[in-house]
Amino acid sequence: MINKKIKIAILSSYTAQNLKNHLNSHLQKNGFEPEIQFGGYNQYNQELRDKSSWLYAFNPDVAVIALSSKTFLQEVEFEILSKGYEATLKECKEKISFLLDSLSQYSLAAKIILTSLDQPLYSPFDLMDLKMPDGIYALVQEGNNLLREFAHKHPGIILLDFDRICSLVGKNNMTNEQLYYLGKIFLSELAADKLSQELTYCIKAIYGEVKKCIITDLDNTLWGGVIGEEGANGLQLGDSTIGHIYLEIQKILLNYKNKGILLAAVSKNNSQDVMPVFSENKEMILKKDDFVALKINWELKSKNIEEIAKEINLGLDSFVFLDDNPAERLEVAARLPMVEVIDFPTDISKLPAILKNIPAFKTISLTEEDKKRHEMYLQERKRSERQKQLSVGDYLQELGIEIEVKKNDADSIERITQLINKTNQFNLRTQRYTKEQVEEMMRSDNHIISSAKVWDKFGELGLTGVIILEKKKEDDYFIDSFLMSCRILSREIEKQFFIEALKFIGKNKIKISAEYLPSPKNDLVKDFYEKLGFKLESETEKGKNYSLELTRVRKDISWIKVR
Amino acid sequence: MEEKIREKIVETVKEVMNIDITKLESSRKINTISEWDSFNNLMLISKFQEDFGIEFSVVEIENTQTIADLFEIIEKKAKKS
Repeated sequence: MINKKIKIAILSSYTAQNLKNHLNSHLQKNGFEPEIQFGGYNQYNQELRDKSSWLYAFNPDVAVIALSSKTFLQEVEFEILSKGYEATLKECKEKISFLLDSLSQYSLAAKIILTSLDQPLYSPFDLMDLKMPDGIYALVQEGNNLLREFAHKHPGIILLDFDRICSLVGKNNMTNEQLYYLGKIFLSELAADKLSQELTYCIKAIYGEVKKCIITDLDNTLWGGVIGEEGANGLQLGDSTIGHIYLEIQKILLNYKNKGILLAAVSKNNSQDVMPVFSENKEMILKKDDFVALKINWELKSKNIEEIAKEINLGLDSFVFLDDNPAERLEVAARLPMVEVIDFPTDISKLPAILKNIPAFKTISLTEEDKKRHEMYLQERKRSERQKQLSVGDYLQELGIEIEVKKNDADSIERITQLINKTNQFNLRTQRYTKEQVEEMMRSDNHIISSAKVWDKFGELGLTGVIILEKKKEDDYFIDSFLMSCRILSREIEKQFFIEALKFIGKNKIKISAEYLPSPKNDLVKDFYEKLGFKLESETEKGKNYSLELTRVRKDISWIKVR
Repeated sequence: MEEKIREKIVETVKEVMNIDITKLESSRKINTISEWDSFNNLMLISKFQEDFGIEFSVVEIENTQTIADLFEIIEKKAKKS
């Protein structure tokens, strides 16, 4: 894992300094090198608004705004009876609006993680509170609605469900009262640890450190029993204690599939024994086409996983492996240390909870591409089958590739940012940018962001390429980023994309410089600029520098149609 | 026993605050020591309670004003437990 330096600012409505050790340790375990600074107690509004505050000098990558109802709303539980609901609510809303206005004024490129308001344990209305339209619960809910509406409008803001975290810790364990009354320290050590863990999930997701595919075993993992012995209709699946658990396991996996995480199966079985389960067993939630790959044979599981990785063009570190057999887990963990192996419980009733909470699958955004990813891989399977039947030239002609390249396409900013942060293999400089930075570049006159959408006769391949050109001076450009999703390689789409991106400059005579920065994963493109006709200027350990004098329009690729 | 408790107190203060209290007057008021950060003070008190398996009330914490007070209250409680 790459060690990532990351600056985190924590602004809070309580003394939060005891988050430091916990957050440091969670982030370090996940390959980050954090530097954490804290704002003054309850100073967040001033700090966010004052451009001369420490916050602006620190210039964090992530700013955490940590609130709690007790410390942020203050005293509502003591005022609601005397002042009345409407007046109390009005004050709460003002407090929240002021904070949101502060956040809007905060103009740095940082990602913001805002914690929502927890439902306090104490209400003067006790047993009546929840059913009252004007109780504490209703009031806090209104506050959270404001936070949600704001966060929904600003994709750069992550709204972390603090009430959920409180519930996980247990509300009675959230605060050490002594420390709270002595020093306004709201979080107990247990709570500080849990919040740090959740913040770490968010930060990993911000930096695109998420897995893409779950590879599952079949017998005693997706259903109870061994199919080779029990047969397709003799399995424990459906109407029994164990059967219900396996149904839920399949439903959880189907949810993952529907939000863009790929499913594949690897099982030591005879293929002819397994296939009937998909066609005959009516209880099966997962269908054959829900899997992008099914490897049912007697080979080593590690070998099968490597093959799947090749077939669907993903790095081994994109996989999570699920198997009830400890020997298989050991084999995969030993041979493929990049694959994350799930700690399978000895009691199957514990598995659903584990599957629901796989940190590596936690995401902060869901693009259209994510939801369509599965379909795309199925198409890919059909493509590779066709490819085997034809010569390279015939295959490419038959594919009917079409490409559409747009300049500074604000509508696709989510996907562009996602691609910038997720692409590892075909990525010449591996520069990562937040959505705000991408937005800034799109607005600026010194950058051109080109993005490519691709189709062929099997379907849409989606937005799969990004080029960022930086204008150094008149007629002189630098390729800041050139990256493409691996699923469209070896069709020379990248060449046509480059030609189209250059057209946005609007001149034929230009100078272009480029750079290849090696990363642990981008060996694939180490000679890419040579192939595009660039001249190698210098080569060091750090990378390679290139230049290109463009004097005429480059020749189009014959089998690609430009939309 | 008493020596050991004193040693442990000195050690813990050094660890949390980076201050050697053996070099300070025992009548010195804690809130006059500039390096004695108020947040760390609370962390220190939590740590004493955990490490010695003792409990302070918030009034006792408020009344612990000098270095001598600190030694006294911990020794008194730790001996009992």
